[in-house]
Amino acid sequence: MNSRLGGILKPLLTPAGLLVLVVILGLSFVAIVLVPGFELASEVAETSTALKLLGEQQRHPSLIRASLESMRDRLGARGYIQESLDQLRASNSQLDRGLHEMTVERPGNWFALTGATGASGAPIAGKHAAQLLDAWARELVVLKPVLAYHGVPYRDNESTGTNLNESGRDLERDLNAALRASRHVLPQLDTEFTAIANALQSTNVRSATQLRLVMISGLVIALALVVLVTVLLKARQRQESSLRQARQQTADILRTVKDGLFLLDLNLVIGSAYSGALETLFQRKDFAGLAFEDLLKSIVSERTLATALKFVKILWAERTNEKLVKTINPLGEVEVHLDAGNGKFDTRYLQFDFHRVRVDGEMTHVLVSVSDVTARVDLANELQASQSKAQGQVDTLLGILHIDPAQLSSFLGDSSAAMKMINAVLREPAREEGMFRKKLDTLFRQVHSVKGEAAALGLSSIESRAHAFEDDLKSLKEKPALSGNDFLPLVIKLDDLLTHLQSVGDLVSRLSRLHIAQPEVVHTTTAVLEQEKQKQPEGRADSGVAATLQQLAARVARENNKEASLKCTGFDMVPEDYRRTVKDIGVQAVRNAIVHGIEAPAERLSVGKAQQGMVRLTFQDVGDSGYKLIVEDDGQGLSTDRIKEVALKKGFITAERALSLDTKQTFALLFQPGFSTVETATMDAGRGVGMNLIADLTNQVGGRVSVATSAGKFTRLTMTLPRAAKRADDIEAA
Amino acid sequence: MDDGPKRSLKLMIVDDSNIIRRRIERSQQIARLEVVGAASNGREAVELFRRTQPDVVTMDLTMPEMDGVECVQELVAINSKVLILVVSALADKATAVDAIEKGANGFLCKPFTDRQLNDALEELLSEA
Amino acid sequence: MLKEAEIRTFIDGATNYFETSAQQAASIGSPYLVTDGNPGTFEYTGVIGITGARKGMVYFTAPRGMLTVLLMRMQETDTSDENIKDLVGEVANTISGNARRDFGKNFVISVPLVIAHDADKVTAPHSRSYVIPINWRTHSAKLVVCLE
Repeated sequence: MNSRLGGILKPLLTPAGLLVLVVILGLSFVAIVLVPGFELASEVAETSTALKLLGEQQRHPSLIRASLESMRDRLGARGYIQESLDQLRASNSQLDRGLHEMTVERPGNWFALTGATGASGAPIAGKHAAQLLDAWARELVVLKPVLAYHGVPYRDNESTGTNLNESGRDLERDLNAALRASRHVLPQLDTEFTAIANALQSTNVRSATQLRLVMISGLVIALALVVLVTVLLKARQRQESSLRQARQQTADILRTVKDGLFLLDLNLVIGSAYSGALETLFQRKDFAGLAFEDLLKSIVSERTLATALKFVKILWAERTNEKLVKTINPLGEVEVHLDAGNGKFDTRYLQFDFHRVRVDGEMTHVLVSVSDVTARVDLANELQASQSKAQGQVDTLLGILHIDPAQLSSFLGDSSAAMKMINAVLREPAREEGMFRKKLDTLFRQVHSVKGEAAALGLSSIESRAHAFEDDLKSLKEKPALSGNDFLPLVIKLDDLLTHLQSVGDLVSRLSRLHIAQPEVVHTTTAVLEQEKQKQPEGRADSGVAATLQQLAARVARENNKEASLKCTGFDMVPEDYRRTVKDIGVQAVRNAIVHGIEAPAERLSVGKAQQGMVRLTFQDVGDSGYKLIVEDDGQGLSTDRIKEVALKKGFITAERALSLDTKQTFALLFQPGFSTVETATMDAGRGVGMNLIADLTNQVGGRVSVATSAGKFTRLTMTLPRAAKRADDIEAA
Repeated sequence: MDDGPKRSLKLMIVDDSNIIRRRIERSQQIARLEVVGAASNGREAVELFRRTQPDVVTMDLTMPEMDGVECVQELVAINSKVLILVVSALADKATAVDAIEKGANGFLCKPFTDRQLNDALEELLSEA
Repeated sequence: MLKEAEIRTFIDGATNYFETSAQQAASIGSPYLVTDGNPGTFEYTGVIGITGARKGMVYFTAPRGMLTVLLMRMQETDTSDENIKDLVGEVANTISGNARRDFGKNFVISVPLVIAHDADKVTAPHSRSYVIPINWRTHSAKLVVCLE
């Protein structure tokens, strides 16, 4: 039972149900309390009015009777009758008026008397009205002559005193008749009045009871209303506070969430609610009402912007499958640059995600979430960079592994000194053409020696870079006018070379650490050799010069399709001061010997020589006069005619001068910058720098060069070096 | 889609690469799909589309004759109910977005695995 | 090489300024590298930050004497510190404007920052910088390009 009631009440207990209840109660209050209450109240009021009227009329029959009796008595006593007659007349007219009023039908809203007193609109007297009027009409008949009386009913007589005159006697008769009739009629009126009064009274009591009932039910309904309204208000408050709570929670979430969140409407305008993180992500505050386009405009390229806007728009098309277009989101990873305000930039990577927002199946917004993925992207980039770097390193590493560590580290030291020299030369202030041009030769020599050595060691990555540098220098040399602008490509190549040398250096040092970390490697031959070398007196280490030259000779011969063997003697005696000079000269001389001196194998055989050419490199300590470095090859020797021919062609000499040159003067041409007898430049020769470089290097340390040759038999260069080398490195410190 | 007795849906493959066409053909394990044709360029695709009236199309973007974006537009004009999955390399997101704008329903990035292809097609059919 | 074009754009920006505003061209000396992270400055320096495809900074630095003469060549008699700073800012602006024109969106360039009398404030973010001497009349200034 209870549960059934609960089942019925349940829907009523919802706020809407309660509201309906309030309306019903309100209407029933009007229907049950107000309308009947008003009617009952007017009924009671009208009944009271009727009772009052009745009360007034009720006393008239006895008054009439009393007046009649008083008149008769006074007449008998020959008294004054006018007063009683007036009384009679007043009562008569009042009763007559009252009766008419009570018996007349009431207009409209007169009370609804029931039973004895009639129904709505009926006279107060109700069903008694006819009897009342009838009795009263009978009474009026007898009263009429009395009421009509005028004059004095007496006549004065001396003897008999006062006597009734004729009219008096008539009056006396009429009075008696009236009294007789009244004795019967008037009580009848009284009885009727009493009956009416009783009826009215009981009606009144009933109405009052009803009114009380109505009042009580009104009170009950009012109470119920109060309870209901209270419940409703409470419910409403609860609803509001839970709404407020929900709003607060939403605000809390938006404030604390790390992602930037906002909604875009169909026009791609940002809504008013967005997460606080957005302000940090974009370094601005004016998001509400901002067009998505304006948000992106300053941070992505135009092309990305156009694609991004299109992308968000296609999300609105119902055809588009949201999941299947995620991969083409153009804002999946966007690099943004935020001006940090101090001339520097803050670069961040943002990831935008787009989600459709549907309300009742209808798409209303696109939810955009933006997160900062800088850390992730940086890590990925780092990984990639280290991977590609590692790849490059593996290549270089393979090259380096073939090289004797001592050779390699001496090469690196020399090269970085050369780079410093190059940079120092570049740095020297220069304003005019001549000063710029002067730099070229020095730069050439420096980079050429690095190239030669790199080639000797088989470090092709360095060799090709140096070669490119040389190419630039070469074209600058041929340029008619030089300015600082022309040197920019050189600096960039220098930068590249330095970077590359550095990375090779890093590798080498890592490799050497590897050697230290693994002592068992000592058993390998290289390591044993190294140990032996360390035993040699300080400053007399060959430091791999001979080995470098051997490798160079083998490579140059191979690349030039020649066969040659190199024999180095006395290199363990090269003082530390001369190590670099000797090596540089050696590289150059060996190269020249193989490229220019040694003939092709077939040619050698045809002139009766051994198929394999021979190059000898000898370092000698010649006591007080210093040292000698001798380079000799068993090749074709130097042809004065060929030298003159080339010199003529290059414009070094005139045809006339060519004729007058002796052998020595002709050989001197070899040492001029830019002279080479090989037509096309290869990595090994042909830039016309070889002999010139040898002379330069020797001069730098205060030595001199002499040439001896025999056509078809040999060429011998002898470099005489003073005991103490002039410090050529001084320039490098500049 | 009603789950009752499955009406076979027709699939057309548009791709200028033979290898890709055959791969898509082979990897078709969705029972509902039956390959009704393969075209190697846009023009051919439109012609074949009219003839075979497929329900689903996989569409390459860079093709000779008529490119994928234009082809998508034509196919949707012929039958607005067709489901089109763009299958292309991700070099140019803008073009892919263009294709979706013209009425393609989804995108699958080349290269793809059989599983990715089938997942994408299932997803395409589930939304319809 | 991309790097060369970039550096040239900066050089053009700086030399153009002299040519257009003082009707007297500036020439550049041979550029060189500074590898110790300290390319050095003169009294006044205008710095622009760069990010995007490349990251780093470019600055134009010049001695007071040169800037004073430049101001005078521009018919400006007020050679106060403030005015000179404005001038350096202008040169930096021209450089950055040039760069914006040539490299577009992928090369994001900051608003120039002028630093005067405080050489220590200017440090190159990477160890290797390109220094391009700018010679104008008897004076020398420097353009320093330091890109990752």
